[in-house]
Amino acid sequence: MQFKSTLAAAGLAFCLASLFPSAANAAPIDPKQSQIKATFKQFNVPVAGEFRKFSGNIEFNATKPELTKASVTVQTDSYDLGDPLYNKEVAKPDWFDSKKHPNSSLTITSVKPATGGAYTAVGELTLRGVKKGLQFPVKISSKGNAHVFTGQARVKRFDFGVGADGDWGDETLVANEVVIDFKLTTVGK
Amino acid sequence: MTEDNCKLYYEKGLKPKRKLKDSILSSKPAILKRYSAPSILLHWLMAFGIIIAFGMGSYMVDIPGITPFKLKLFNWHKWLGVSLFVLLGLRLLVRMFTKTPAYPVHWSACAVRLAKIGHLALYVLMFAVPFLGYFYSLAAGFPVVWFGVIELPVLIERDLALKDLLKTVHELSAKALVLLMVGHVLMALKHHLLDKDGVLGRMVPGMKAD
Repeated sequence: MQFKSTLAAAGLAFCLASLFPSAANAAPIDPKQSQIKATFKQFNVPVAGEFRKFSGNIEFNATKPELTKASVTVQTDSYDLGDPLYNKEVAKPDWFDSKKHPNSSLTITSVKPATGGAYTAVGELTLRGVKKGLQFPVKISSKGNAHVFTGQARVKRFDFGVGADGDWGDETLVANEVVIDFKLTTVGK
Repeated sequence: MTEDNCKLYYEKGLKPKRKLKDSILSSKPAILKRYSAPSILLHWLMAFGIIIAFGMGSYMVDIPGITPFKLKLFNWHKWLGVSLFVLLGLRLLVRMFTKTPAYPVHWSACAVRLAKIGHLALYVLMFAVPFLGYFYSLAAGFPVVWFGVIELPVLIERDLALKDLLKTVHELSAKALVLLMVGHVLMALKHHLLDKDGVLGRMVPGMKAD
């Protein structure tokens, strides 16, 4: 009897699953095929660095994009500017304060279709313990059954208190706006 | 050739060594005594610019860590370096289109050759030092924005191995340039104080030139 009901439940689940083939499940981000770059300007000179350590999951829903969910966690002390001197500097309390806030996280709560096949991602960024709403354009393409998310988000470092105090709080020295370019590829199944 | 000189030659019954024809055909004297005004201006501008750039460069690399002042110095150093590179281009143009005084006739062939090699080396290094510095900055992933306004071309991508190499070569060539400049100054002083041949006056406004 118990066996039968289990079977029935399994059958029902199977039917439901086939009814909603796009019912997404979260796929992990493949760090080898992903990149998160942050570019800031010092004295108007664009300087780019890459976050070397990050992880996350993306639950993309092609039929109902507004149900798309994503969460990405970035290790703040992995920001690599190509020079140990700079890398050490940005992890300091003035900047990322990596000892106190080792991680920064981005949560995407929904994705809205925008023009030209692109989407607008809506979510929240937590950096240095400060949480802020964020919207940015995303393009989504598929490689087999892996999805590739590319886009650009613009954030203001002062919003999160990054280098906001003291000498570094001078915008003419290091601009307030930071451009984050990302390419996130999920692991295909 | 001045009138006094000519008089001297005629009084002694000597023929002037240089062609008089030239000075008759053109209003300019046959012997150019000093460098042209633009050449003199560029020479001194660059001399002071190079000294400042070198002093800045030597000082800024020893500032520990990353500080706003260090970033400022790095940027100013790069702006100055690019400016000196542009001034060198102007200087070469001026040199192409103006006459330069000939080496004094009483110099030995060996002295002339040494002076020519020294001057050529100065030009080569004035080109090489900013050129290498520019690519060093690019290899480090820092494009150069001249005076914070003009974005200069990013010709190579960040390349950390190349960066280390260029850093060494930029610093070595800068040291070589400054050493050569010291030699240049010493030779100029030798000519002025020991030989008293008026060569220094060719490059110093207001000083007697020969």
